[in-house]
Amino acid sequence: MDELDMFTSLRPTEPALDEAERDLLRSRIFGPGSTDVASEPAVFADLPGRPFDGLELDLDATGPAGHGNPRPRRSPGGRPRRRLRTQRAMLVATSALVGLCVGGIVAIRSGSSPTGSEGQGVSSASSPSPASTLPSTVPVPGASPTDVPRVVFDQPGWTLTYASEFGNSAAGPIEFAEYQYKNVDGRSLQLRFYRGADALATRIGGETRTALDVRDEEFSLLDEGGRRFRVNVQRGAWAWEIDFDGFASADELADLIGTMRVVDETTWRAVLPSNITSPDGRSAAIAELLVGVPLPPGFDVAELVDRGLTKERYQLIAEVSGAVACGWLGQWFDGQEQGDAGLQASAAAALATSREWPMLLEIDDQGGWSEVLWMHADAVNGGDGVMTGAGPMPPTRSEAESALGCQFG
Amino acid sequence: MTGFVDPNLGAGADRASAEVGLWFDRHLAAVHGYAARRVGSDLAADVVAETFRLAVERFDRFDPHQGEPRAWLFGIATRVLHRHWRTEERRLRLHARAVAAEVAPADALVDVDDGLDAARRYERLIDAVALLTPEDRDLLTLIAWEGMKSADVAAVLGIPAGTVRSRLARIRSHLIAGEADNTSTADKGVARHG
Repeated sequence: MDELDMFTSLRPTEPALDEAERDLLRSRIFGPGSTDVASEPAVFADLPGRPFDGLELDLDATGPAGHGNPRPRRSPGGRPRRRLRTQRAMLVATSALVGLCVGGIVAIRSGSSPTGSEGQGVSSASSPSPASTLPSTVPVPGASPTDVPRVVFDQPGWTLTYASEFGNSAAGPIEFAEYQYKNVDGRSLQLRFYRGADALATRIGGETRTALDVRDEEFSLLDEGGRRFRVNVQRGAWAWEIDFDGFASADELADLIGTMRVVDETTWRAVLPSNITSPDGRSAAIAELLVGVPLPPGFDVAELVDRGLTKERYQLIAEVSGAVACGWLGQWFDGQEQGDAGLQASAAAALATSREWPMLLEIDDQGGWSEVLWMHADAVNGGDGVMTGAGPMPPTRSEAESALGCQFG
Repeated sequence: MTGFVDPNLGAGADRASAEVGLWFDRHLAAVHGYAARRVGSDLAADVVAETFRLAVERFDRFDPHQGEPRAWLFGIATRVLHRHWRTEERRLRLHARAVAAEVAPADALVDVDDGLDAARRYERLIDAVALLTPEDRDLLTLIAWEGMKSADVAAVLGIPAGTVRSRLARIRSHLIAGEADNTSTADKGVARHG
C-alpha cells in the first residue's frame, strides 16, 4: 500500500445528514428558522416565472377584521412541550420555507401515505384507454386546471404516493404540479410539470447532460450518480422533469419512460389512491376537515374548494388549515397595527383552538405542519417566538408568510 | 459565522436563491460529506451553510462553461474549509491514531512489530500531510477521499487538469519522503504545529 492508498484508507466515515439536520441547514441558508438569525427575512418570495421544486399553491385566506373577545389565553398544552416542540417544528417549518414560491408553500411531511391506501396502483393494468404513449403525445395546452398531463405506467408495481399542484392565483390554472411514484421494488420517481412553452430552458443549464432517445424522441438526461437520474423534455405547454431514484442505468429508465402514458382526466381520477383528493372530491373533503374549526370572518370556503387541485391528504390538510390560520393571523396583525386589542384577542382565541382541530391532530405525527401552525397560535397567545423559540415574542407577518404561506396583501 | 442570504442582493437574488436551492437539494449530501470528512460533522454544518450562502451571493459569477454546479460548490466549500485548517489537522491526527490503533495487532506476541510499524507509518503520513500547503491538501483530499478525477479537481480548484496531475505527483513524492523520515512523529507534530 503506497502513501496515497494509505491516506485514502484514512477517509473518515461520517454519518449522512438526517432530515432534521438537512432542514435546519436549509433554514440557516435560505430563511428564518434558527435562533441566531431569526430577525432576518427569507429571500424566497415571488420568483417570477420560476417555479421551485416542491412548491404548492397560494394560501390566500386573509380574513377581514372581526370583533373583540376577552383577553387571549394560552393554548392548551402549549408550555410543557415547548422546547422540544419548538426545536422540531422549527426544523420542519424551515424545510417548508424552501418550497416557498409565488406566495405558495408545500408542507414537508415525513413517512409515506398516512392512510395506507396505496393499494390502488396507477399502473396501466387498471388504466383503460383513452391513453397515449408519452413520447408521441402532447397534452393540449390551455388554461384549464385539468390540462396538466395525467400519467400512468404500463410497468407493474408503480403507485402514486404524493400529489401537489398549484397555480399562481386561486382561480388560475395549474402552473406547477408534482407527483411521486414508488415501486414495490424500491425504485421511485418524482414527476414535475412546469407550465410554459419555454419552461424547459429554466430547468436546464450548467450541467453536463446527454441525450436519451426514447421512441424517436430526445430527452435531456443528467446522470447524478448513485443510481439517480434526471430527465427533462419540453412537450407542448409543459416542461416535464422526472427524477429517477434507484435506477441502475439510463436504459432502465428509458424502458420506464417508454411505458408511461398520458391518459384523460377521468381515467386519472379513477385510479387515484384514496389518500389523494381529486378536484371533484375537494368539496366533501374540505367540509369534513373544517368541522369544528372556527372560521375567520369572511372566510370563503367556496373559493378554497374551487381551486380545483389534486392533492395528497397531508397537503390538503396543510392547505385548508393554513388558509384558516392565515385568516386569523391576518386579523391578529390588523388588530396589532390598528391598536385594536379586541381584534387581536378574538383571533388569538380562535387560533388557540387549533390544537384541537382534528385535521391537525391527524397529521401531527406525519410531518411538521401542525407544529408550525401551533407555534404561530402559541406566539399570538403570549408564547415563545415562532422563529426564536425562546421567550414571549409576537409573530410577524413575514414569519407567517414564510412559514405558513400566508398572503396578507 | 453564517447568516442568511443577504436579502438586499438585488433583482437577481430570487433567481440565485431558487437555483442554489435546487443545488442544495441535489448536492447537499456531497458537500456536507466533503466538509464533514475534513473538519467533522459539527463544523461541517457551518461550512455547508456558509458555502451555500456564498453561492447565492456570488451566483452571478457562476459560469456553467467552467464546470458544473457541484464543482463550483466544492470550490467554495474548499475555500471556506481553509479557515478551519487547524481543526482539520487536529482531526486528521486523531483519526490517524485511531486507525493506527485498529491495525495494531490483537495478538501482541505474534504481530507486535508489524502493528507498531503500521501505526508509525500512519503517524508519519499524517505529519507529511500536515506539511502540505492548503491547496495541495485540498487536492489530496478531493482525489483520495472524494474520489474525484483530475478534471473534476481541476474544476473545483480552478486550475488546469495537467496542473492537478503534476501537483499530485509532487504530493506523492512529499508523502513518500515524509514516511521515509524516521524521526519521532509525535515530536515532529508538536514541534511543527503545536
